Amino acid sequence: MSHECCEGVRGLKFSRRYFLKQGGIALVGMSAMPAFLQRTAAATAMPNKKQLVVLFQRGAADGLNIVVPFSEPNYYRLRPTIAIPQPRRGGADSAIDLDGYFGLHPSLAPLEPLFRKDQLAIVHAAGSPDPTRSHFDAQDFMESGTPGVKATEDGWLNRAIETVPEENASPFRAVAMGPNLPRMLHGSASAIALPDLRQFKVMPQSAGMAATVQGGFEAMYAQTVDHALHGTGTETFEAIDMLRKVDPGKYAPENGAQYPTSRLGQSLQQIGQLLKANIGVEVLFVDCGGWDNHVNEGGVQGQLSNLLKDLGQGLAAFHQDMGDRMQDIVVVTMSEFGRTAKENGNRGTDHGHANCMFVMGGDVKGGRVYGAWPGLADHQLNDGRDLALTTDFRLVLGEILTKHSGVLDLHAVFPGFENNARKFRGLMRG
Amino acid sequence: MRGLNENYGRELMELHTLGVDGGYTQKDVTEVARCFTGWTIEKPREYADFKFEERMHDPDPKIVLGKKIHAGGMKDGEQVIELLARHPSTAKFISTKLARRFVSDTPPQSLVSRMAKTFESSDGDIRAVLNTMIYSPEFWSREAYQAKIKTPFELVVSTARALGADVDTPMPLVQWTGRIGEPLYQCQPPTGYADKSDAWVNTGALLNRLNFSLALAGNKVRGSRSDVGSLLGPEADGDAKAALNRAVQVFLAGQTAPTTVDTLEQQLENPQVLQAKLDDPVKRVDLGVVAGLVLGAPEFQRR
Repeated sequence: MSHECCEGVRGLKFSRRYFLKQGGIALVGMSAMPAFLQRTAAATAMPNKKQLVVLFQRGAADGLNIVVPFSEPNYYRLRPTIAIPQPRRGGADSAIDLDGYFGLHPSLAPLEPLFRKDQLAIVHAAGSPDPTRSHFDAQDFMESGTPGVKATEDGWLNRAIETVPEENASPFRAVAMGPNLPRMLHGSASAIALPDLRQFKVMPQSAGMAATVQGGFEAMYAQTVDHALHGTGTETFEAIDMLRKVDPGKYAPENGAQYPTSRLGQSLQQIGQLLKANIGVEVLFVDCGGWDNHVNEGGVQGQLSNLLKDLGQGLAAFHQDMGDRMQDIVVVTMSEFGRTAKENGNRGTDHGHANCMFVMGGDVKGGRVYGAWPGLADHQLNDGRDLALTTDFRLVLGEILTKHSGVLDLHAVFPGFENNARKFRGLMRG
Repeated sequence: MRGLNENYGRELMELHTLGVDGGYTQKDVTEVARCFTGWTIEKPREYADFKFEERMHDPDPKIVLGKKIHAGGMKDGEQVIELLARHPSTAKFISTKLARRFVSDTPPQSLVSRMAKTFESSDGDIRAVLNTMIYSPEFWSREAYQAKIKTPFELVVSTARALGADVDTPMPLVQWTGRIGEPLYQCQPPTGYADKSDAWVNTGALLNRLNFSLALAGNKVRGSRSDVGSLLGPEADGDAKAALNRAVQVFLAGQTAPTTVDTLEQQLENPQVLQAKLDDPVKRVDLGVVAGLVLGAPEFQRR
């Protein structure tokens, strides 16, 4: 898509907004239906909109202690102090047997029922083929979707939305939970960052002034010649208007779901809230950090275990809260690379290569660990030290985007990568 | 031999000297890490002090960027620092960072090259490099004028200064800086915070910028007080238009799009802006709102 074309799209967006406002006024005259209800009604009516949640574990999570190859003696040889013990009947201090070969870290127990109900699939030895061991480069590559190519300016998730044009796109079509837009969502399709739904409004000291003050800001940003601030300003005020109607202060998770009180747990709860609000959300991004455990990573208990408790409880609560909606939702996890197969001198692990990815949702053929297992014997390791890579992360994402999100042009999303149905791992229905 | 934590070797080259494309290999990373074995911290939990632990040092020769390092003990690491500091990639890396900080997000290559040359010829004298930058035509060009978006920290500080705020308790301002996107001293990656506008300009952050200017100008930030009334002068008190014109002069040095004043004037016709108190028939302008609006203008977001 050329630059000129994108500018055109932006212009269109503004006039659509103008049209909606004018249309809303006309409608108020006729049926007293506020513009926002019109819009909400339109969003609800969108047929078969599928939603994708991308969860990024920043810092390089230790896939070998998350999905444990407990049948591999080399695993125990390489990790004398931090290995997760083989599954034991009734033992909470050991791996949870998934398929006789791999086991979940015991702190991920809340995810076991989802795996058994075929709602959760795992892809092991997956990741980015680029050999870099720099967090920054590797995250950059996994977010740009072009490993090895630094010049890519936008992110794959943004390009994915861009390939499925949506004339009446909601300002909430792509949302990142947090104060900043991640690299993955940079690009020409509009996307917004939301640190907290409840705080997303103009807040003057006297509430009666809100409309006046918002009007003042809105007009200044609509008129400014400052290109960057104009675009962001327009999106901001459009989003405020829509979110006001959702009333995010009042939210009760359904089906007895209990989200952790952590930042990740609260972000997942707000994602649930946005998805239920029917305001045209299609892709959501959330990240969590703390995985870079060079020192005292721990085994069954410790730093990694605490992170996994939070992750497992958060994802399980989200699944429970969403209930039948999970039919239209897929959650995928990723991390920039795995960690060394051998533990280091500080009872931790250093930067490695391949990792595991979780894929959860109604369209997922769960209950299986996908991907060829490369083994952990010395000669099987990448550079003699890390889990080798057998599934490119773009194949996993490509399959989700094709079968779940309706993306037809995978080449536009992952340029330069041969991504076709014959190579897919078969982890999605359809 | 215990395991090697190679992280410092990588970060030293990638983030602080050569830059990610600076021409080092994974082998260099492990070699640098070997040179720094034994560099550690004494009693890290009591008082963190540097310590060289000879027993933990790898005494064998190493090859870093094609140069043999075999000075022995702590000198190995010092030689690596010398080598990296004098490398041309470091000159370019540091110059790019400085030019990005002071000129624009995408500084002209011509400027960066001249700065890098000065860096090399002055043996890394940052004053000399800044001199080259400040006396360059690029520094004074039209394109560089207000080319930078204020970081959240800069925005918070410049707003407090513009309002002449008396700050007794800085913590609430620190919290606002975090909400606008830059939690102080909590940057996760060792790169430090980004120095480019796209890291700061997005819907959530923009909204918090606006709310911060309203809160500070309205004296609703705990521990900070400002006197907008005396800043804007007596004639601003009963006349919203006069207040607005004064605020544009005081906070934006009069530099704003002509439409900004007109636009705000229309909004300020709202009767609520003119507060009438029960016991005081004279209408007063809510100067906090006027100041908050002007400090939230697009023009105030740049430096």
